[in-house]
Order: sequence, then C-alpha cells, then structure tokens
Amino acid sequence: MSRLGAYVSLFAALSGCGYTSSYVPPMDGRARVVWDSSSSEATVSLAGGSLSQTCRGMLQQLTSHDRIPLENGFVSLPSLSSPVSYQAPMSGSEPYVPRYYGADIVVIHPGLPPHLPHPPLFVPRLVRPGMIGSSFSPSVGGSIRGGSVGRIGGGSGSSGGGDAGKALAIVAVIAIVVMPVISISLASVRPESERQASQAIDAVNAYNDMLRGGGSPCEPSAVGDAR
Amino acid sequence: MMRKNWLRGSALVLVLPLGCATTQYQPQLVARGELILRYDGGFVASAQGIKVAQGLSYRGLEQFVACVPDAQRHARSAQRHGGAAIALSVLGITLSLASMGSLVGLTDTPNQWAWLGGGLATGAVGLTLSALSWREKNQANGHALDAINYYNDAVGSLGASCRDLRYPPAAGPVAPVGDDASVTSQDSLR
Repeated sequence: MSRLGAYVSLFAALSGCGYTSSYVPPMDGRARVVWDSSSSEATVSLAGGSLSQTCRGMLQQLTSHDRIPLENGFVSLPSLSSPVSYQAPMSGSEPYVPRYYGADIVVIHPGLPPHLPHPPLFVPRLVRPGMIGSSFSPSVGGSIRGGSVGRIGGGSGSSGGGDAGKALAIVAVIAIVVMPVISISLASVRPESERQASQAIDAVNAYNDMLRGGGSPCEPSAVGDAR
Repeated sequence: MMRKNWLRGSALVLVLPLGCATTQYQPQLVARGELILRYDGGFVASAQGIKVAQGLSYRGLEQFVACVPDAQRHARSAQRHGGAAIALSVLGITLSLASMGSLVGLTDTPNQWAWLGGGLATGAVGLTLSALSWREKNQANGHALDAINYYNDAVGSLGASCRDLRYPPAAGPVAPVGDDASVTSQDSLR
C-alpha cells in the first residue's frame, strides 16, 4: 500500500471510519483470513493452531512469502536450510471430504444450517488457547500494524491588486491543482495492502492444505518434534 | 534524456499505487461448498473453482451464503458498501477533474475569483467524496471477509453448501489421541 494509503488508514482509524469486525473465530484448528479492525487489514487467525519452525519453513516454501500477518503481528517465514520430505497435497477430481470431530451435524429445518453450540474440531489434539501461549512464540519480525497559470493578479489592470491578493490566488490555484491528485488517488487506490492480503490468503490456504493432507509439520502433535 | 526519465518516473508513480501483488498458492484440498479466497486486484471468493464474488461489488456473495443469516447480513452490507464506494469514487474523480477546469478562469480577470472559488468548492466536494469512497471500500472488504467466515464456519468448511445442505458424517465424537491422529488425517484424502 502506498504511503498515502497508510496516512488515510491512520486518519480513518482515528476518526472511526474503519470497519470493526465482531467476528470471533472458533478454536477449531482451521486457519482463516480475518479482518483486523485496528489496522483495517486482512490477517491470519490460526484458530488455535500452531506454527513450528519447520511449519513456517514449509509455508515459506509453498507460498514464497517471507512473512505472514498474524492477528498479533507479523511472523517471519525462514527458508529451510535442509530439504524437507513433506509434499504439498494435490487435489484429485473429487472434492475434499472434511474430517471433523464432534457430533454428526443434522439439518432439522431444511435450508437452514443447525446452530452449533460447540464448533466441530478439525485438528486432533488442537492446542487450545492458554496452552498455545506457552509453546508458541512467533518471532515477530515486523511491526503491527502496519502551462502557465495565466495572469494571476497580473500587473496590468488587475483590480484585485495587492500582494495578498496575488498570494491568495496562487494558493487557490495550487489547491485546485493538488486536490484532484489526492482525490483521484483516494478514489482509485485500494485501502487494503495488496501484499499483506496476498500473504494472509496464501498462508491460510497453504496451512489448511498441510493440515488436511496430514503428516505435515504444522500439526500440533509435531510441534514438539519440530522445534 | 531528462524528459524520458521524467516520463518513466511519472509512469512509475502512476503504477505503484495500483500495485500488482496477487496470491501465488492454489489451494488443493477444498471442501465441497467451501468459499476460498484469493487476491487479484481485490478479494475474490470462489467455490469449487468457480468465482462467486469479487470486490468491490461482491455481487453474488449474498445469494451464495443465503442459508447462514449472519453471513447473509454481512454479504448484503458488503455489496451495499461496495456499490457506494464505486459510485463515490466515480463522482469524486469527476468533480475533481471538473474543478481543474476552473483554471481557465484565470484568463478571465474580472471574474477570476468567481472561477477560483468555484474550482475550490468543486475540488473540495470531490475530495470529500473520494475520502468517503475510501471508507466505503474498507467497510465492503471487512463485511465480505466476515460473511465468508460465518458461512464457512457453519456450512462451507464442513463440506456442505446452501444449495445442497448435506453434511458428511463426523469422523468421531472426540478427536483421537496418539498416533491415530496422523493416520486418520491421511484417510481424509479421498
């Protein structure tokens, strides 16, 4: 995002113009792209999942990004020094059948999904909040977020007269020239950081693929081994 | 030579804010009705390889997530804010360009201040509309992400869709403990 975008985001946040999300991701182990209300940017929620050093290396390998924006700041993705045997899962012709733990979900009212008081769990042995804090300490590698103008007061026959009038006219002309530039920038530039949005989306997609494929270094059971 | 550099610099300034960052990774294991995001000049939501909606308009999202009330509400807001953002952007740019026309009034010395005043007022209105469009874009994106998340939580990530609301059976009442976990995860690749 341009510097202008950062200023406008800051202004918008200060003036309460940013969108404030009320969405709270359930702790089910499925990563999501969520809206960070403080920075008005897309960030990653691991929903209780973990990021070991090897997992971060795999994410770097799969996405080619050097960092991912988590809810509490950026986490750097290191390049793996040694080759890892993990292969990224490949899609088949059939859609992936999700594996979740919990009660079977039964549709009672046709066309309406049932209310789930306890979200189903996607990841066995999920590291729940409170547990993760002690085992996962992301190395926050970055900051959070984050022609001629004509005869103005011309000498011959100018009725406005005076230096003040000339100066005022010059300021008006400058404003008339500058305002459209700012205006067009505001209207045409996207408010979100394209780089950060891409990083967040790629990280979520790759992370979920690795968990769904199984045997990846991102599974909570592998945290202890990989670190 | 200097002119050439100036042109190159101007082109760079024009292109830079537009950006060119896109998502690189193509998700492989996607559940039947799951909404997947990618970024290509804006947020793009797709399901089963078919584009469902794209920012800023987010047209089609509300219909796709209609069976989840929270998601539908956010999708409707996303579409409304997105539409407003587009309209405000167009108006803001139009008025801003129109304000520059007032500079021709500098040749009309007797009415110079009327021209300049009009140009300033028009430019200020254009700038205000553009600033409002920025806010609307922000709102549209936030609502869209929330809509997608609410939908995926209740339906999409569980292998169902609003058109065909059938869930696959659960793998078990509780998550396995021990080495079974990795085995069962592999089993799901079918």
